[in-house]
Amino acid sequence: MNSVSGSSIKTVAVTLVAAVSIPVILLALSSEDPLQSITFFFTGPFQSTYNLGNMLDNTAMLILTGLGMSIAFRAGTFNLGGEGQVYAGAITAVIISLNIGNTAGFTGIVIVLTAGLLTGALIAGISGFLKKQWNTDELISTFLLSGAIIHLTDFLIANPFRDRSSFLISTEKIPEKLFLYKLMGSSHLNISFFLSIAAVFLAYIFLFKSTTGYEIRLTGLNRKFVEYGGIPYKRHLVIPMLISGGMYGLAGSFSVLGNFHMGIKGFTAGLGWNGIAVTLIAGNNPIFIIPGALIFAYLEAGTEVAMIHSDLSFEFSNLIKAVIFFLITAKRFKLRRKVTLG
Amino acid sequence: MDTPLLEMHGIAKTFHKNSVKAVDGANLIVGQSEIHIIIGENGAGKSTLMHILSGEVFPDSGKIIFNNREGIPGTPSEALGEGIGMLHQHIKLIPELTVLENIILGAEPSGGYGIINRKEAIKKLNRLSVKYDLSAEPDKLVSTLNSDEKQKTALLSILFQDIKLLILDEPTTFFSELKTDSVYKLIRKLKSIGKSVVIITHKLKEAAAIGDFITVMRGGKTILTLKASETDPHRLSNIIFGDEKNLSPVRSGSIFGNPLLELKNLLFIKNGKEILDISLTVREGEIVVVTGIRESGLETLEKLLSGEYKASAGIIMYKTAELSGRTELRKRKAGYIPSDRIKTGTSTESSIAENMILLNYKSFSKSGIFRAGSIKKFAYTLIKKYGITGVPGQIMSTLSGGNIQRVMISREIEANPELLIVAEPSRGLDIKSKSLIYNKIFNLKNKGSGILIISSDIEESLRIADRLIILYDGKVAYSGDGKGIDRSALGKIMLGYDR
Repeated sequence: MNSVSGSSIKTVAVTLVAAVSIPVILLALSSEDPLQSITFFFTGPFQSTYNLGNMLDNTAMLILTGLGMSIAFRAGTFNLGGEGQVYAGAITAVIISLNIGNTAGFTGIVIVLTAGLLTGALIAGISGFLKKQWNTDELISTFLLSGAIIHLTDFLIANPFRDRSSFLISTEKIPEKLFLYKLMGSSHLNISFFLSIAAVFLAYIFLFKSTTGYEIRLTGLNRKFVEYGGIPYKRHLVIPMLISGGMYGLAGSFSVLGNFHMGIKGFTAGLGWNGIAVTLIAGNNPIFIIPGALIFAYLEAGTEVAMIHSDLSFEFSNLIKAVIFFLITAKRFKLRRKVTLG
Repeated sequence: MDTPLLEMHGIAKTFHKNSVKAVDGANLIVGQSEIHIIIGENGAGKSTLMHILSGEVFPDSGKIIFNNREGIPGTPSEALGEGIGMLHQHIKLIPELTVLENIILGAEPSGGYGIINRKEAIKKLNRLSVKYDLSAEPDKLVSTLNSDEKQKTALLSILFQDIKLLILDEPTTFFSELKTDSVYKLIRKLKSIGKSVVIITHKLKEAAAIGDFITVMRGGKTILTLKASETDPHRLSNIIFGDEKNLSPVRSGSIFGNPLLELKNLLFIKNGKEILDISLTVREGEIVVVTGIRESGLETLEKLLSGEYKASAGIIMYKTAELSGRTELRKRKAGYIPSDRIKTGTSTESSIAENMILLNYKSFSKSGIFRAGSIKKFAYTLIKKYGITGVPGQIMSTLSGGNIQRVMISREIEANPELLIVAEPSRGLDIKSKSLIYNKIFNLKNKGSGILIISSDIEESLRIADRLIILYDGKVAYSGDGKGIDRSALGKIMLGYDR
């Protein structure tokens, strides 16, 4: 009988080998020129500062949405309305930006970001309030509310705020003085990258070092225990939702000021769901959200580059992403030994 | 000579998170149709060793030969497939399913096309019920069962699979006093049809009474194995603890102060049936023990006091104020050790320190941020004072049952409550832990706190009560200082023969 120690190293190794070899096999099967596709897939994100910068900008957005989800998870609640909250935060940012007139750059930026954050917080907060008041399942209410808000935002972009001179379904461009400072050439990478990293550490301190974080985590782990301890826990059905939605709203307004500079129909789509994926990769730990978001953004960038430069199809690139994501989250690849015959 | 059914050699397991050696080179040999007792104090490694055998914990090293086959089960279902079943101290059933569904789970008799053959399942269940004298109502939802019925269901679900070895973790702790006999009967029945039983227990008398062999564990090691007929509880106790401990705390003649807790004609009616009707007073410096058999109203009393149930009539007074809920009890700084230690009294996925600071966590913070140093210091103080095996950052679920209880007890008692409510204080505790908790309760009493104990352990009740209240069928059958009342007289009152 062997010792089982060292199995965790083996587990990680198996996962990594599988995560790399399965897309390679899939690409080899599907592509006319597999070597080229594989090369673009794995090295594409590093081939230019443009690609690298965009990947890092996407990382920043995923960090924020991942944080939003993980705080909700920690409190034992679910926020499935990320898509709508990001979108609503973004459209709020656009509308405020277009109407802010002559307000100076920095103040204007702060106002726009705050408005986006509050919009996301408010929407998620509604579900938290319903949960507290009438025990409405937040899984359902966040999801449904988000669905409605996506349509409403689509309408706002396509009708009252539409820029008729554009061939896109989009709003007018926001004033340039509100653009966030860019960090890497023509890529979208901007200072929101540092702000989202700062948000990770703030979230960590909040969750693990503050008394409110203690209450929230206990509520998430064992509500009976919190009640038994005499801690009023009902507000922790609302507060984590506010924070979660706030993070999503902030991500939406960052992507307007830092990247798109206007509202385009469906322009933040995917950020909400991908936030959940990032949280799962990170095992719900705020600190691990940074590498988690990086991995996810790298995969997205790799498939995008491979799609543009080789014959990889859109569907296939998504399939590869799904396989890798599945392997990463199946972290308990237990190599358990069967009872062997003697 | 027969080959043994089970051999375990050099089993070791360290939980990596905290590098505590739970099992450290343990050996165990169990013969065919043998009742084998594993005994030892809390944290000795008994449960971990058996969890390894039942496939729930994978050992770091060691060898297992079961039924002439060598191998270590990777999962509980693998172990079951080999014929090893374990009944846990904390029962694992799915409350939303029926008794029958729980019992057949994983071994559903197939009627073809993936449909369960219900007739066959019922038939087999009935056979088992008769064979082992375990009644069951197959269509009842598990969430509606009381704890005895849950225990029976869990047991039947194991027996439903064709096992060769049954592991019982503290079997009589969770059956009430009166049903111990039927547990014994069941164990003997299993033996008589050629099956082996391994029993983990704290109860010395039980070990000597029913076991063929007794293995003593201490500090993760198996110290020795004896023939049960060659030993007695007194000798066993010496082996387990090294020296004899004085187990009986001295009852101090006390002068009692003002009333702290008063229940005045507290009534609980459910579905038109009177479940509980009780009046009692707990004064400063007084230990009041409420005892009774199962379903005599003890559980209801606890739920009324915790605020889970609302009284139908009557008054709960705390000093001069009327209380209504659990939160209020806590606001008034009353201590409470619930009988449901795991789900209510503990946050199992939090650390020892996080469990310890529950009642006063805000005092460890400055403008909303914790001071990590002071928490650590507090936790270490309690760990030392209460003899807990662990470190502050350790996750509770990695602790042994006894240590989990000590963490909870330390938290409730260190807060120096004026009133402490304890449900089933010694449930699942070994002798050392028992005397620790009694000592702490007596300290608290001597400081002038009032203590209300709800206990189904008769000996314990007699030993520590200043005032003893016996419930029968939801009513007070006896209330007095317990003097001149012996165990058999007590038993009669508890059974409702003598009022």
